[in-house]
Amino acid sequence: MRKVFIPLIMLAYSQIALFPQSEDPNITTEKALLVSMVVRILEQNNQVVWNQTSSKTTIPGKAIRVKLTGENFLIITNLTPYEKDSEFYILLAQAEIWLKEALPQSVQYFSTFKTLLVPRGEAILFFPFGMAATEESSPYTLQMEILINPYDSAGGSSGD
Amino acid sequence: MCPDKELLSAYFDGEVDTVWKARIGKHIETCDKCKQVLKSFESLHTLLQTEELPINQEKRESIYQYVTSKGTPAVHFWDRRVSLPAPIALAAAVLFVVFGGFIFSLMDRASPTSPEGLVFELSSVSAYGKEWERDIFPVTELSGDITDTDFLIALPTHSGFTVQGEPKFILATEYKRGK
Repeated sequence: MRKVFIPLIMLAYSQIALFPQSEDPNITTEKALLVSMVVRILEQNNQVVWNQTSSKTTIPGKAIRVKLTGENFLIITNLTPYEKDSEFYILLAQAEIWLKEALPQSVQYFSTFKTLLVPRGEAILFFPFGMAATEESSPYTLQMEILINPYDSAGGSSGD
Repeated sequence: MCPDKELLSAYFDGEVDTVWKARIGKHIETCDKCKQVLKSFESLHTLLQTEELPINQEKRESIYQYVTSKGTPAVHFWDRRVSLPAPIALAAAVLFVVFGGFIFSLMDRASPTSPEGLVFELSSVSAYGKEWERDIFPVTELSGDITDTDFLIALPTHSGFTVQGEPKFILATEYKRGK
């Protein structure tokens, strides 16, 4: 009789180990964060010539991976938000940039990694190719604005 | 009382002992019914001795082939019976559950179900496959799967970006102050 029970117990254990009780969705929703992004192309007078808005829900510690592609560049950004306290978020921002130059034919690579203490409601700006657009360098500046907000299950983002 | 058909058949074949043989013989002399039965045995015997059995030639060939072959007709794999010892069958079942669950959990992770109300927005998708992107692909692979992104944002072509400085993350207020 015991011989019959051992496999049954093993089977039951494997089921428990493989299919644990899922996390309470309410807890996940309470802790969820909404990361909004606006990618802009600015002219020298800060005039927006192109923009694109995106948002993604995540939980603290889970990175959002964004890939920006253009004709001659590729940018991969990992944004990992954390909640510090009631006033601040912490954002782990990491980016890698590949830019192809026509003359001389080459690919430039840049990377950056920064930990930012972000007051709630404040946006973070990311300039993959630098900030100082001059007439000699480039007529356009690429900018990504990142805003972290607590996720509000009722209305999407609660804002601050 | 008439002897039954089996006894009459044995009598016909000469398989009953002498005492019974005499008694049955005596009975048959006086019983027309038993005489008829014996006659039918005799005619059947004659038929079997003389006539060829009406067997279809095609059927005969197939039977011959079956006999000369291995003797086992072809059985489809789904018709075959497989017998496994109970412990092996149990182990197979456990493995099936474990690996099935593992694959299921991977599938579940690949397409996470969002809590009710959470909206995943995908603003823009561009195809990965430019020649030069493929050139740098081995490098980008070092930083993880290039295709494993939450967002793929394609910028307008001919935007003509050049490097103006180091890539920078900055707080919006600091940026405004700097301006």
